[in-house]
Parts: sequence; C-alpha cells; structure tokens
Amino acid sequence: MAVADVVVSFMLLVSIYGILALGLNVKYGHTGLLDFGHVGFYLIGAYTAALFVLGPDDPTDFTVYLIGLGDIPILGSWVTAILAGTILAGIVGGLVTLPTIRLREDYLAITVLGISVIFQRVIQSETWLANGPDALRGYSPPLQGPFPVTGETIIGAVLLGLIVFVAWGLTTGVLGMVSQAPSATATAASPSSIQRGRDDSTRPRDRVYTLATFGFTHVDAIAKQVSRTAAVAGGLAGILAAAAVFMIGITLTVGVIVSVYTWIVAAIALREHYADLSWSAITTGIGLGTGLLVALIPLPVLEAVGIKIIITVSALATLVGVYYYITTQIDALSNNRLAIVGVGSIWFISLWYFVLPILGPLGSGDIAGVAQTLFQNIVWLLRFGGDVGIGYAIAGIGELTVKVDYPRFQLAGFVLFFVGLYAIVERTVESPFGRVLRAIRNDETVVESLGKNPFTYKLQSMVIGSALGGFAGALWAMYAQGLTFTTFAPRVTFITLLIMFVGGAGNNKGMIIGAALFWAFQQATTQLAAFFPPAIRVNIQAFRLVVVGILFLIVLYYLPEGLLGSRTSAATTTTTDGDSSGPQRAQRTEMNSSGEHSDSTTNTSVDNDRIPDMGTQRELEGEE
Amino acid sequence: MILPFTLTICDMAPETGLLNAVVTGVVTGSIVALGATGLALVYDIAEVPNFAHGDLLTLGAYAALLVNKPDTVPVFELLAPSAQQVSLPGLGVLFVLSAIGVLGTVYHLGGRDALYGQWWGIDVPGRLGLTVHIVVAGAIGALVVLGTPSFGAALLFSVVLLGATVPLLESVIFRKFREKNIELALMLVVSLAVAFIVRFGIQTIFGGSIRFYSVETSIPFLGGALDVTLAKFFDFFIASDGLFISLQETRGGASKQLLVASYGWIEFAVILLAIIAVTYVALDRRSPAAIIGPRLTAALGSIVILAIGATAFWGGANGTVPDTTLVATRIRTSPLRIGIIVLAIVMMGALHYVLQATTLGKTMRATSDNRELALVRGINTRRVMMSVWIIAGLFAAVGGIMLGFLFSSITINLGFNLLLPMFAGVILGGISVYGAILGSYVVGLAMEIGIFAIPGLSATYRIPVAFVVLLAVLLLKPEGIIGGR
Repeated sequence: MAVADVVVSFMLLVSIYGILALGLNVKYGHTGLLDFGHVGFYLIGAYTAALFVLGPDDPTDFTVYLIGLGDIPILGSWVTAILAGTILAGIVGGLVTLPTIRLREDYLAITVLGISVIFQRVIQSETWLANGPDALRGYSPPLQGPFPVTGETIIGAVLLGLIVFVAWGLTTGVLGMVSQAPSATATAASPSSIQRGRDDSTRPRDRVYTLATFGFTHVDAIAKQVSRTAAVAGGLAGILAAAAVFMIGITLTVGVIVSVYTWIVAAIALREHYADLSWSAITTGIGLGTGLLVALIPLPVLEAVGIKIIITVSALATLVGVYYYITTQIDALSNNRLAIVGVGSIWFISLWYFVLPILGPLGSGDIAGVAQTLFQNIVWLLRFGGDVGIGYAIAGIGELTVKVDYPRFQLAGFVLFFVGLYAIVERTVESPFGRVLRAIRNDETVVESLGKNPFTYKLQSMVIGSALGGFAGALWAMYAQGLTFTTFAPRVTFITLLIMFVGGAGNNKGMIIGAALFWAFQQATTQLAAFFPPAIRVNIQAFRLVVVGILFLIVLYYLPEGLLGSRTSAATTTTTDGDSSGPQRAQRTEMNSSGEHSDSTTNTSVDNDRIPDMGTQRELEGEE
Repeated sequence: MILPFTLTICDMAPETGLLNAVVTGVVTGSIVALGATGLALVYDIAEVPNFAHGDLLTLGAYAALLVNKPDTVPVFELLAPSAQQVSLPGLGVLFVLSAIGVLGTVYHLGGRDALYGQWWGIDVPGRLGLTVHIVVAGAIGALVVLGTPSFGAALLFSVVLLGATVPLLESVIFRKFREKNIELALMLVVSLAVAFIVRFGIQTIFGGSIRFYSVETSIPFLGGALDVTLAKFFDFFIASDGLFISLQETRGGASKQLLVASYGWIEFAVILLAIIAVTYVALDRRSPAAIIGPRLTAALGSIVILAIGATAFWGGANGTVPDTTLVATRIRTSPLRIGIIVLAIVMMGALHYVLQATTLGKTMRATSDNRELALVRGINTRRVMMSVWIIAGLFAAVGGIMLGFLFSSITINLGFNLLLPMFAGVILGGISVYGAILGSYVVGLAMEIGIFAIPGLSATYRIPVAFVVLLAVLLLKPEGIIGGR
C-alpha cells in the first residue's frame, strides 16, 4: 500500500474530528461553555444514523436493535440518516442545556460529562436499543457499489468527476486565498524580507491561479469571492475530467494533472506562509526535522527493545535541548520558535512521505521501483496496484494499474462536508449572533444589561455545537461501518479538547490544523509502535497518550491561544488585545502566524489587568 | 413494586431488602467519601477542580503493588526472585523510596527549612528537627521493609509515596497555571490533561492486565479464624415478642449460624429512652467552639448507648430464630465492608480533628474562606496549599487501596470509574470538606437505593443514578446542599 493511501485514510479521521472540534469550538471557543460531554452528541449522531440505514431487525440473528429503516427508499438513505443524526443530537443538546445552563462553568462541564456517560451506559445496557455491548454492524456506506472506479462507465466517470471537483475546487480556493492575502512584507521587520523583491503584477502564482480557474479571474462576478471562483473552477474541472475519462480514457493523465496541481499549490502556500523567514531559521528547521528522523532510526533498525528505547529517547532529548538552546540563546531565531518547529515538521513529513518509501528499492538498486514508488506517491489521487483497473505502461516506471477506490471518494465527500460546515459556522460566527456569543463569553452581565437574554443564545449555541457533533458522529458511522459503545468514551472529548486548544479556541481554521496534527501524531506513533514486540505494545500505546497529555499541557501553558490564535487572523494582526479577547484574562502570548512576540513584553503590560492586591501575594507568601 | 420487607411465616431465609441497600450505600458512600474529601479539599482551598483525583486513587492502588506483589511490577521484578519475596537490593529500594517519601512530604511543607523543623510551629534547633525527620523516615522505611509483603506495609508505603508525589502536581503544574490567572474552566482542562498523563503513565509502566492484591484474608478473631471477605448475613426479625438479630455465615452452600441476639420490647424501649435523653442533653449544652459540637456529641452518644444496650441486653448467643415473624429482612455484608466504613469514619474523624483543633486546620479553614484576608493575617498560604495536597494524597492512597481490595481487581480505570460519583458528591454537598462527606454518602445511598428501588435497572446504571440525583439537587439549589457563597 502506498504512502498516499495511508494518508487518505488518516485524512478521513481528520475531517471527522475536524467537524467534531468545530462543534466544540462553537460551544467553548465562541460562547465559553465548556462541555466535557461532547462525545455524547457524537454518540447520538452515530447511533441514529446507523439505526436509520440498517435493514429491519432480524429476530433470528444475534443482533438486536430498535429500528432499521434501511429498506425504506428515502427514509433509509444516508442523507436522511445524517440529517436525522444531526437534528437529534441538536435537540438533545438543547434538552441537556435546559437544566444545566445556569450552573457555574465547572459544574456545567462535569454535569454534561455525566450525561454523556449516561448515554454510553444506556447503549451498553439496553440491549434492545442498539445491540447492547456488542458491535452494531450490518450496514454499508453510501455508493460503495461502483467502486473501485476506472472511468470506463458513465457512473464511474461521474464519480471520478466529483472527486476531481472537490480536489480542484479546494486547491483553487487555497490558491485564491493565498493570492489575495496581503503581502507578508507589510508586518515583518526582519531584514531578510526586504532583500526579497516583490514584483506584484506577474507573480508566478497569479499565473497559475488564472490558469487553474480557467480564466475566470477576469470575470468579475465570479472572481469577487474566492469561494465562488473555486467552486466554479472545480466544477469545470470535474466536468472536463469526467468527460475526458469517459470518452478518451485518460484516467492516468487526469490523475497526474490534478495531483501535480495540488502539490504546486501546496508549495506556493508554504512559500507564502514562510516568506519572511530568515535562511538561518529555515536551515535550523530543516536540521531539526532531519534530526528527528535520525533519532527515530534505531527503532526499526535495532532489535533489543531496551537499547533502542534508550537511544531514541536520549536522541529526542538532545533534539529538544538543542531546540531550546537555539531558541533562547540565539536572538535572531528566538522570534521564530513556532515557525522553526513548523518548517522542521513539514520537512520531516516530506522526508517521511517521499524519501522513506524509496529507500527500500533504492537499497536494492531497483531504479524502476524507486521511480514507481515516487510516482505513486506523487499521484495521490489514484490508487495503484491490484488486479482491477486500467493498465498503463510508462517508460522508466514500468507497468501500473490505476483506479480510484472508495476511500478517496469518501474523503472527497467528508472534506466537502467539512468545508461546507466550516463556511456555515464562519458565517454564523461573523454575524451579529456570533458577536453576542462572544460577548457572552467575555461577560454575561454586559449582555444582559444590553437587553439580550444570554440564556437563549447559550441554548442556541449548544444546539448548534451538538448538532455539529452529531453530524461528525454520523460520518463516523459511515466510516467505521460498525459501532461499539467503548468508542464513545470521555477520551474522545479529551482528544477534541486537545485539537481545539492546539488549533486555537475560537478559531475555526485551527480545527483542521489541530485535527491534522493530532492524527499525524497518532499515525506516526502507531507506525513506530509496530517496531516493538507485541508484548509491550499496550505499554507503548499508553505512553503515546502520556506524550499527548504532556504536549497538551505545554500547549496550554505556552500557547493558550493555540497555534493560530484566538480569532481568524485575517483581521487581527499584531496587536495584543483588541476586541477579540479570548477566555484568558491575563496573558496574551503568541498571536497569529506571521510573527511571535516575546513573553516578557506582553506580560508586564497586562499585569495591570490583574487585581491590585494580587501583586502583594508574591511578597507575602513564603518562598520555598 | 418490590416490598422492602417480606413476610415470612415459615423458617425461610429472608430476602435482602431496603435495609441491605442502605447498608451497601453506606459502604459505597464511605469509599466515595475517602476520595471526595481529598477532592473537596483541593477544590476548595487550592481552587483546582482536580480531574486527576480518580487517577490518584489508581496511583495509590498500583503503588501498593510494589510492596504487596513485587514480582508483578515491571523492572522492579528483577529484584524480586519469587512471589511475595524481595531480595536485599529490592528491600533497599523500598526502604529508600519510603524514606524519600517521608522526607519529600516534609519538604513540600516548606522547602529545606521544613526539613529543619520549621513547620512544627514551635522553635526547635535545626539539627534536632532534621534528626527527628530522618529518624522518622528511617522508622517508616524499616516498617515497610519488615512488613513486606503484608497488606499493612503496602498501605503504609503507598500512603507515604503518594504524600510526596501528589504535591508535585501542585508545585510543578497547577501552581504555574494558577500564577497565570487562568479561569476555572481552563484549570479543569489542565487537570484533565494531568489525569491522562497519570493514568496512561501508570499503564505505560504496568501494562493493561488486571491485578489484585494477595492478602491474608483470615485473621484470628475471638478464638476462631475470621475471613474478612466472606459475606455475613445479618437477619432482622420483628416478631410479636421483640426484635431478633441473627448472624449467619455461608460457606459453600451450608449456612452456619454464628449468633442470635434477641431484644424484648422493654429492653428496646430502655435503649430508645437513653438515646433520647443523651441527645437532648447534648443538644442543650451548646458549648462554644468545641471540637465535638453538640450534634456530633448527640450522634456519638447515641451510637455508644446503642452499642452498650446491644451487648448488655442481647440475651446470650444461642437463641433461636422465631418461627412466625411480622417483618424480616436481611443484610449482606462482610467484615471488610464494615471495616471500610470504620476506616472512613476514623480518617474523616482525624481530618475533622485536624481542621478544628490544630493550627494547621485553622489556617486551612481561613484560606478556604478568604485567601487574601488569610495572607494579610500572615498565614503562609503556600504551605497551606501543600498540606492540602498532601492530605488529598493520603486519602487518595487509602481510598485507592481499599477500592482495589474491595473489588479484588486493580485496573487502570479503577479510579476514573469513581471520579464521577466523587465529583457528584463534592458538588452535591457544596464544595467544602463537610459538604463533600455529606454529599458522598448521599451519592452512595442514592446509587444503591436507586438500583434497588427502580425495577429493571441494571447495575451499570449506578453512576447515572448518582448523576440524576446530582442534577435534581442542582436544579433546586445550584450551589449544592451545604454550599452557598
């Protein structure tokens, strides 16, 4: 299985958790309601959707469940199931809010946690409802029949066109946003940025953009909004692809074009993001990334468990020490702490994605194999190998069979859902309704004094957030094709909280980053855990969560606003407070992506916010 | 509808009923109280809603394994050649750990100066303080080593170890966050992260298998061997001529009657009158600021009278159970459970004494009321916080071990399963120590009586029942039963 397939399956999880985190973000990031029981709505969405699409309960088999509407034409389809799951989760969210909303924030958190545990227990004990403690299976995700698809049939071509639509549209959207972002030289003061000249009109990326949108950038009605341009461009690309694949049969070419396009845009976006980073910072990042890879080498290579643990851990510790030393002692780099980590991670991931898989064939001198692996990983849109599919023979690479498999289609669908929900939430949050929510998070009394009833707003926020959680649950049901109650433990809420805080509470964009980071970590450590003997695999997996917990604490302490900051950073740039105060009363540390501020300056300026007699606390308390 | 009592006409074993549910509820409540007391202390005084408290119980339970079953602990098993036996280096490790535990606990109370006796409250020369501390540390280490692998030594070891480790959470993690003045909800998230670190740290070391203590369960009692874990049945019969209590033990299907006590109605009336008299006198006294206030005196007095009356009037051990009874019910319990109730009461009594009679307790109450004012008054709030965490650690260790012993299985989720009832108890009673104690017993009783009273409710609904009760109370009184600031 190529690396690309691994990434596709992990991206599915990222989208599901991204939607889940969006829901929690609405509740906490925007309204300040800490909900430790968010997984309960996830559960409701998942089980409702499953019960809708399951066939009627067969009394003779061992599975028992309440309703199964799968045979009824419209009612038993996935569309209704997802809708039902979402709506029911939202309703339950509202019902749960009614008694608990007047509670203090920590009481609220614990009470809703208890309610989610109640839901879990109900599923576990009521065997008539959803098969009790056993797994609820027997349904299949939508449109799985036609796959894997090669484009030779109409249905296949249409499905392929849909995937291309999503991929092309999203990529064009990203490119559009990158093109329209203000030039990075506006805010940074580092001297190296002045050295790079900027020629505004004919930047290569603008040319790519015009090409990718089929020239629609010149049509004002469409070009006004990036999303509209992206959608139109994607639609056109999808139709073209479907037609080409069906009539001419150039599946591979289409796949290559789309995949290469995404890589180009990724490179452009990265370059823009790190445009004003000094060369020394970039080199440091690359060095750290390579160092991380080197540190992990003993794990697959050595046999003795104890020795390889010691070597890897000490290498990692050295790495952290070097990073700490560099960022605190060397002035030029201390402002770019996060960026260095970002560069290093991206470099590490590129090495893992492109270089590692070809080491095998490279070692045995199989140049064709190297080329093939590289090609497969670049053209991620298509699935290679296997018996089914169109065969191609390419010079220098060899023979390949090519098709598009179901996970890619599912991924396209999930990503589409995520983007759609993200757009809806963004619009809600930027609206007057969202402003009231943020006002409630900051100070409820003010909202009351202005004549608005915070209760209804909190209720609506909980309903929306829970509905989003239910939607994610329905998607999970689709992905997992079988539900067990142990999946819906409070651990899921913990992970969602982690994702939300890492990405930035209150920032919707951060959700995808947080989810991607978390699942990348999970994926990486799962692969690493495979290098250990099975007897201690449980211990290694537990250790993985310890590391997650420690990282969470570090993020909470040093970056309470998350990686992307508290609000969508397009508006707020470098100032500290502004109007977008996050839940923290005191410290503002890192802000948005374009630059960081040292802790000391923000700390002293904000001490004035604290209660005056707190200052005497240090003097009066005995020092240890 | 299940009747709380069953009418028996023939000589048949009575069913367990409401009274049994009440007693089991008191047992559950005691265990919850052991945990909730520490949780409430930390919540109230250190202002940390400690989500990791359940996992601290687990930590205590697992730490005891080092002494009790050293050959099952990874890495340490290298020093334990066989089950229940530790080699000399292993004993050395245990000794050192216990000593470090004691010294570490003292260190938390005030740093290096505390080791020199600064925390004693009286002026002592530094060397004397240090010597005393080292001697005590050595003594406890010796006790643990000599007692290995008995249950008592394990308990002592775990208590001492947790007393030193738990305050580290405060000094390393929570204090840093508190200094950033983060809001309460975020502290909850921090403690959630800490909970995961603790729980999965334990799993990293110990793995996922289920453990259990190896404890000698038969202890010599009144001439014969008494197995503390076997169930004993107390049967209560109310017949026309009085109250009969029969104690039975069932081993392998054959039930053996241990004793029967009978109380006539007159004897009953005498005891009742004595209790009323004592209560009236106690409540009337109203002595100011005593450790044992009037209500507590009344309660204690009633219990003493009951005990005296029960033993005085019992009419000999070899009575017979009456044939026709009006009411009969049965309580199923074991000496272990009763022991847990007693242990919980003793520990809470000790805490009560500390809170009311010692300076430390007074400073704790003052800090809990108003921290700034306590600072102004010159109270070392940092030491107060550390002592609160130490006490929480002690209670968590005892609670965890008792929980592991009671359920004879120690898993990773042992403490977390108790976390929700603990929080329910703390919130129910209002966030204070006494409120938490009251709340825990209410939660324990609710859990057992709820399962008993609602037909068809399976035992997995225990925690949901506790939460429904919590929710009901919070609807009526959002600050909890006792709370209200």
